[in-house]
Amino acid sequence: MKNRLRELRAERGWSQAELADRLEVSRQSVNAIETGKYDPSLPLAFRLARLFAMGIEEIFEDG
Amino acid sequence: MKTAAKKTYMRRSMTVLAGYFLTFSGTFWFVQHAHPTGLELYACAVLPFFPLFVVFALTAAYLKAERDEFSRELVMRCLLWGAGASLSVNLFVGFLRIFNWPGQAPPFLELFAFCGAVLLAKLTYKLSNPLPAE
Repeated sequence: MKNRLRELRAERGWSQAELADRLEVSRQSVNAIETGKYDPSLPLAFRLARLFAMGIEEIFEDG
Repeated sequence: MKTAAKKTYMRRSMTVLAGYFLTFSGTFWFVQHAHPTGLELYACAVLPFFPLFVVFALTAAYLKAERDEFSRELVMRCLLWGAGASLSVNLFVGFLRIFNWPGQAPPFLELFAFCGAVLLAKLTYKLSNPLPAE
């Protein structure tokens, strides 16, 4: 699934490690989501949405 | 960076694995010198199994405690590869034995196949998904 995670992260000046810390996941997980190799579960998607203060649909693009 | 659950799991499982090698070495030495037979010999064969069983129990506890879903998925994928390799070796050797294969498979071949496959799966993932420099 396409997503804007890298772009949103860069806007805030966060590294992958910093984002991983905020989400309480590994940097590996953040990288996998950003590269589209892994689609997060709903709870993680919601945590991302809350962290970036936007809707899930604004971060992830279906298809 | 390892999560807290992973660090706890690594610390505990390394301790138990050390216990496994000690138990295995101890029972091996005992069997070599005391030459037990029957039930006593079977008990010696079973004893090293317990620390290994604890490692699997610790892995299950880790999978329950780990909040990072992707890390959980990776561990399960590696374990599946390990189980597949171990079963394949067992089936291969078993098939040959049905037809009175005169050869002998090295001891603990399935265990080595399991560990080797898990490590290979982990390494393959890391090499094909390198983390970009930050």
